[in-house]
Amino acid sequence: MSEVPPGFYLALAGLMFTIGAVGALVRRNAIVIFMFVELMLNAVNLAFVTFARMRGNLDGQVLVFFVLVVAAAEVVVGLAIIVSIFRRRASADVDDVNLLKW
Amino acid sequence: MQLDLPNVELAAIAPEVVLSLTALLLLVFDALVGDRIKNGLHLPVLTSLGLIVAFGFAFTQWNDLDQTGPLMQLAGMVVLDGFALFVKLSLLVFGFLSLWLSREYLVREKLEEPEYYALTLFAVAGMMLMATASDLIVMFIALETFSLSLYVMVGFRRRSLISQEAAMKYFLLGAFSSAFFLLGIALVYGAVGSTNLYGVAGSGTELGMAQFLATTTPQGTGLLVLGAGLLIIGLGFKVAAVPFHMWTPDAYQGAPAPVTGFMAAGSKLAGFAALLRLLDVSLFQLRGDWQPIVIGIAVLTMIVGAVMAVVQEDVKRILAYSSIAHAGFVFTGILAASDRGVSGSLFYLATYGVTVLGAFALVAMLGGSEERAVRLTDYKGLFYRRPMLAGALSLLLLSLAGVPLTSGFIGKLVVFEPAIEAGFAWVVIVGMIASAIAAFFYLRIMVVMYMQKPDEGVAAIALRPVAGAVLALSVVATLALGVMPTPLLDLAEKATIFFST
Repeated sequence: MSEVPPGFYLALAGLMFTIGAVGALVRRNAIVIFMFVELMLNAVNLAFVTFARMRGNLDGQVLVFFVLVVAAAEVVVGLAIIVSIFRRRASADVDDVNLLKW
Repeated sequence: MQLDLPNVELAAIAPEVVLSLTALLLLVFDALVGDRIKNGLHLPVLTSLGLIVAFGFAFTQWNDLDQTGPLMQLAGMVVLDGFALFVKLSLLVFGFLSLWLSREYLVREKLEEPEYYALTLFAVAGMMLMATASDLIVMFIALETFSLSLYVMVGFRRRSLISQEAAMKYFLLGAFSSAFFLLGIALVYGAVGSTNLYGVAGSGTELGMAQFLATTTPQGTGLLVLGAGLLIIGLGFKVAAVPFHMWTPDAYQGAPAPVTGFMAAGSKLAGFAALLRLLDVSLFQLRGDWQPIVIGIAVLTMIVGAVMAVVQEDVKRILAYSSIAHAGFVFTGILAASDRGVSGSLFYLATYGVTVLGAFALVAMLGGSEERAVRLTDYKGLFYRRPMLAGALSLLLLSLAGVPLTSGFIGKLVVFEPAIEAGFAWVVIVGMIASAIAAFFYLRIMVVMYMQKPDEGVAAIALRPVAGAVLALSVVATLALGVMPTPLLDLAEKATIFFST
């Protein structure tokens, strides 16, 4: 069975990152924006693993663990902020959050 | 299979360890006996103790530097050099000042919680790690440590919708930008095969960025350049550089004023420390590639920051845009890519931090309960109500504007001069135009304070002794460093001792 060339994985990672970035910019719900950011982080994880394989060292695979932990910590803080704002406004739509301008 | 365990030299990060342990201790201590201590003084005292002990460790390392020279420790994860220690010591001073200024504010707003102090300590620890990191992954963790602490601190006025909105915007954009920073790390790793800034001595296989650049041909650096660009985006966000500045005015306005001061002083210093080490040391060979980007960022940041501040009516927002303009001035120091540029930038950031902490502390005091009085019109005739506070604020504003005999003037001098030497005179001219525009809005605040009569029946402003003392310290430092900058400039000179392979 032939191997999938690493370039394919990098292309997939690039695609996922782009979907994440565009999604974070166009969606209006804070939680959905945050999910797209998570998608971007996971795209980077895939890139790390692929580069680790191409380079033949383990650094990249170890880095993924750090990224996962940081992403988890980010979820804790981020959801707390979004929930606290949701309690006051009953909406997680970023367009409703408009007290601060210019 | 043989596993080589690295030497764990925790002494290298002793100050950060002390701060983190103090934060944890503080939380446990408060949970156990906090109720029995009436005025809650144990929180700031314990935090100060942690900061002082950490300062002691960092200061010892700074003194040892003369004998040992710059060291790489913890399996190449951190370096101890003059640069890192200068930044660490400055950050500890910022932390200490901001702690006592915040306490006054927290007590007034009835927001005092142990978490605030713990978060301050974690934030300072993260910022310090940022300056000392010699591996991109350590830098990333440091970045997230202090960012996550700051997100929460920004939203600390729980009852205020503005504060929560600021926290949400800061958080969403912060998370977005750290994804770009991370992608930058991935591309650098793909290009170099390691995430180290220098390369670990003795291991034949692991090249660092600096070693990689020394051994490769210019054609082989494409992926690294792309990665470096993404790293600049991630860090540019943290230092509020245009076009990554969108969050700054909102977060600065919504955050509790002392937190804003801490963000302006601390996260700028930490972000720029990382940028300086990355660009002026690791990627020094690539400067032909990154200098055009930095020129663009510097010019845009200076102009947009200064121009947008002119049209603001909220004092916190004015100072937020002013902090953007200041980031642009520091970028001219980075642009020079010389030792004098580095020491100039560090001097600038250290003095700016002390000044801006004082300025935001004053905004916090003048704002009164729940920060209602932060509009420019609320400053009407301040001189007739509180001449001393008006005088202190004027002095700090003059320093931010860069008027001679204040530290701000010397700061501008030492970042502009290396940039001219390096042949970027036109960028400096843009910088001077931007400072001229900026002078307008600083003077506008002063005109309101001195030349308009106060409204009848405005609430009296209470000044507490501790905050007053810290504020006086900030004003005196601003003035003293403007008149006699040499001692700090000498220290910043020593800070250009970089680790190198």
